Amino acid sequence: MKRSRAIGWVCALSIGFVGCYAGIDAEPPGASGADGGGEDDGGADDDADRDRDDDEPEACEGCVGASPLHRLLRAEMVGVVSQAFPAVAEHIPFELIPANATIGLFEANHLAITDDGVAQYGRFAEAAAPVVVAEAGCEDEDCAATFVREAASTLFRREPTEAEVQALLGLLEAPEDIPDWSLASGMRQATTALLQAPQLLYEVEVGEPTDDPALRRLRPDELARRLSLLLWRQAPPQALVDAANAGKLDTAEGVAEQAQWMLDDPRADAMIVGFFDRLLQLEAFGEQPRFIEGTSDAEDYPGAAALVDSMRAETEAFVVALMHTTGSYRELVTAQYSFADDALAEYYGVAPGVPTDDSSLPRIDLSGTADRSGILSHGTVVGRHTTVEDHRAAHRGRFVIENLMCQTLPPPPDDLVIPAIPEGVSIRDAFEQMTASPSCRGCHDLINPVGFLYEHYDGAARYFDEYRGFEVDASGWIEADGETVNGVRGLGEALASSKVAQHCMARRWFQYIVGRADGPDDQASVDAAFDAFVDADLDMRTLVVAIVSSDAFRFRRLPGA
Amino acid sequence: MPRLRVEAAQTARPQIVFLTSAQGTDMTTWRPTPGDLIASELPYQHEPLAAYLDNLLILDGIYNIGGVRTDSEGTPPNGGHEAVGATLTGTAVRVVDDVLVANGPSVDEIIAQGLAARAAASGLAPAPIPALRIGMAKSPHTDPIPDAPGSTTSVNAFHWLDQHVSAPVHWGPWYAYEAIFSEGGDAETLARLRAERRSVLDALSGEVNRVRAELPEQDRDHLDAHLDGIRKLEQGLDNLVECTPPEIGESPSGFNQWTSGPYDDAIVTSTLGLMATALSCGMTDVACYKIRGQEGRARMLLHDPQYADAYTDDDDLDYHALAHRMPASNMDYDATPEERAFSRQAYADIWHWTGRRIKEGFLDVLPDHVRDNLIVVYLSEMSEGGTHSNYNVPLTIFQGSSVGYFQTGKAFRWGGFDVFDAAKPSDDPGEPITKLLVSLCHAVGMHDVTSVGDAAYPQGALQEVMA
Repeated sequence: MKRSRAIGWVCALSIGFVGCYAGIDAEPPGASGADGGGEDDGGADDDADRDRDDDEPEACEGCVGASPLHRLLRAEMVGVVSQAFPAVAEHIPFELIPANATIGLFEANHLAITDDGVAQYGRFAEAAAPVVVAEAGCEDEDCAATFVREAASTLFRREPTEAEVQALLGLLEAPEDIPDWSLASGMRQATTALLQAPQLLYEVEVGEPTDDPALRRLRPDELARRLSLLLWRQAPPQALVDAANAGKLDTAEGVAEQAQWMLDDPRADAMIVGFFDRLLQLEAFGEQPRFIEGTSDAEDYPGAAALVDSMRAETEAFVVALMHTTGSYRELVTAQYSFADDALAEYYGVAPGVPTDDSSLPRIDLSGTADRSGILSHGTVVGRHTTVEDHRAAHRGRFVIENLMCQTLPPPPDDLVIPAIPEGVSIRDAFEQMTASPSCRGCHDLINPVGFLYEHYDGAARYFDEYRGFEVDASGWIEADGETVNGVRGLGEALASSKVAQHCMARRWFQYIVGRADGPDDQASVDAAFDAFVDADLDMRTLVVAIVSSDAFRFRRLPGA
Repeated sequence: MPRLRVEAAQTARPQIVFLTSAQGTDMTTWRPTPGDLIASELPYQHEPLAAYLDNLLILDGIYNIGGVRTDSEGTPPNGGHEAVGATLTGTAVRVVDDVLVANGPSVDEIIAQGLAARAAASGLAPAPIPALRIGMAKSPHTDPIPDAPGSTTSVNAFHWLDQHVSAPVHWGPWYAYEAIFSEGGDAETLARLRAERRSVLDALSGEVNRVRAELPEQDRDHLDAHLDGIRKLEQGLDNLVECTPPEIGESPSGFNQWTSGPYDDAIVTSTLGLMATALSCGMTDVACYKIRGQEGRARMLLHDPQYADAYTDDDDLDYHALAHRMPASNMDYDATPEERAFSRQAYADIWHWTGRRIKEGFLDVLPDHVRDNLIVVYLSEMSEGGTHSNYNVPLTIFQGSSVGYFQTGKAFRWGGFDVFDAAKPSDDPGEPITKLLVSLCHAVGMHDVTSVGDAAYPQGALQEVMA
């Protein structure tokens, strides 16, 4: 069945030919548009004194997309709840927290909750409360009240009001004539309510009015919460609260300054890993049968199943180290190093790594390999985006075009017949033949040249010069009018130089950070961030800081207005 | 009962039931026309389940491979009755210390362990009973005592029973009842849970309204949606499953709980009711019931008015003997055409009688959300008992409306084997049961299972029946 779908998709792509490639070679928007902030790197000392009216978005009519009420993502819930109860965090069943719906590659934070979602939060709260209460160990009501206040302070990411505290303390009393009611019973009730409270689940942002009735500028305390939730998945640290109280978040430059030090902190690692997990769709890595011990597929890829954790660790270590050093997008896709344990290094055919300060994993040198190139040739990425070998080019090409170049391809239908795989030809030639009909060519003229750049790699990221008896041809291109390149290394260089890919990276970070798709009204913020990114020699840290100091992050356009 | 199990019982999660009946059946009134069940006349034996036609999948042509093919270790097949233990294990049974032993766990055990692991991984307490197994032993007189450690798969046991099995086995419903509900009902727990939840939901409603009032008007629809969800939960409090033990009365004295003519109805109905309660209350996610074996007497027909007119006390209703009289080329009996017809009718009635109880005493009494997520597999180890053929075993699957794994409302047929003549060879034996066993694992969400039973047998899911 999978095979049928895969092949079906191969040819079906032609259906949407006209829409397949529109704009892939178009220049990204230029530097015109609003001054989104972030690029102004001077005058930080004066920021707090600036007239805040001067900081109004210059083209607010069209520069901030609608930003509905933010419901915490699962990762944000995990972070905040872990912060509230660090001693027992590893025992809290976070798996029960419902995941938000995904729009595009990223979880959306603005969709209304469903009935089932409410029930799932309830199940999580009921399961987690006993774990938390047992650790608290309270024996009197004073202890319980302190516990409730402190927990609410972290979970709500602000000091709770007295009314809120009293409502929670009311749950310490037995609800009805229940026998054997104890203080622990009451604390469990209060904690159950706390862990599904709307003040935890939602980021309440009322904002301050602007000249545009639909546009609210976030209050400093709200901005601090938004910033901390994004970067650290936590309630704001005291330093950020102090900065907010001192007016240091009143300007784009001030926000950038705070964001910079928070991004440099290891507590930003979860956010960094989360972005790349979603961008590369790595949540599904390891589910392929070749990565599951004991399957017949795994026997065809000896050693791969045992390296799933090592491969995941490699990618996490690589992106974290990158974002804490150069932040370079170019390095992301072209780096001739990685971080890997000895087993994975051996699998890649390189010498064991050496310890560095950048990562807990040893750093391995890939410059002696034939075709490794940054994150593009990680086992995670190659493994995740290969279904079956016979038509692997389709999935790999689609991954690059859609995820890394922000182009949309039509979805595959399910109803095409599997063509026979010809004997005596390479899988590249076989795939070309499979997709040679006029009805297939439309999209596959675009997909195949990109997918073939991965031709040296099988589905478990093993490198081959010769595959199934044929010399590998890994030539191709990523843009129709671009030059021909070779292999994943060529792909990395092409992506690093491509304005389309660079702009896509800016959009992907924007989508991840704001938790929604970028619309036309966000264009100015995206473009300004992109400009800052380019000006900073493609430093993704600058990109992130530019986005969080953009109007789209610091303002809210109320939905439906 | 642990709070989480009561909670879990309210939620959608896969559960599976295996109903087994040894010695096959009369295939002439069992075999459906392949294709859409609604478009063809439902065979007599399936009629009691007609109300669930859209949920049924009838498979004709599955063969019990452990009973017909040498395994990877060169063990020649022990077929016929001796392949009972091969059916759900996908292995060839072999004689060890004069006992027939399957060479691996049965699929119910694989699923029980898999679901328990998954529950643990998702933070839920595992089901208190990993697999509820009732009625598996041949008889307390001739088989190892099933509740004792060390029991093995016997000539008449479908399920893997050794010291490693995840839950004990019970001969009959009264034994099982005592083991499951010895601590009494759960009404108090339920009342407490209801009161606690109501209290929390009241508090949450207040807080949502408090937050709602703070927000700009444009944001309030999100909180309204949240309040709707809370209201639904409040309404659901009155629908919590009552985990009260079913009424099964006192155990009649002096009979084998597993099967005994006058009490067949009580035994079968009580067992099915007990299973329904255990599944509904989340006490188990896997339940197995061997309804009958090849020995014993099929005297339940005498005690049910729907069938009683066709039978008398003088009829030989020995279950095993009836089977042997069915085929024209019978093995041990020189049956007349009338005796053959009588045997076929009796077998058809027995399966019909059982189907009624499965519907009325089990499927009909399950809460909707439990039935919607349930898979029931009803099968035998052979097709026509008189042929002792392990090809074309009668196999019916009920799939709840929310499962979505199998195609339903359909009948499939494979193979060219003559179910009425075991001696007639065929190059096309049909589909091996090992593939169906893999499919069943997938159907309950265990997608990483790629084989069940002997690795030398064909493995992988039975793709043709997948939705």
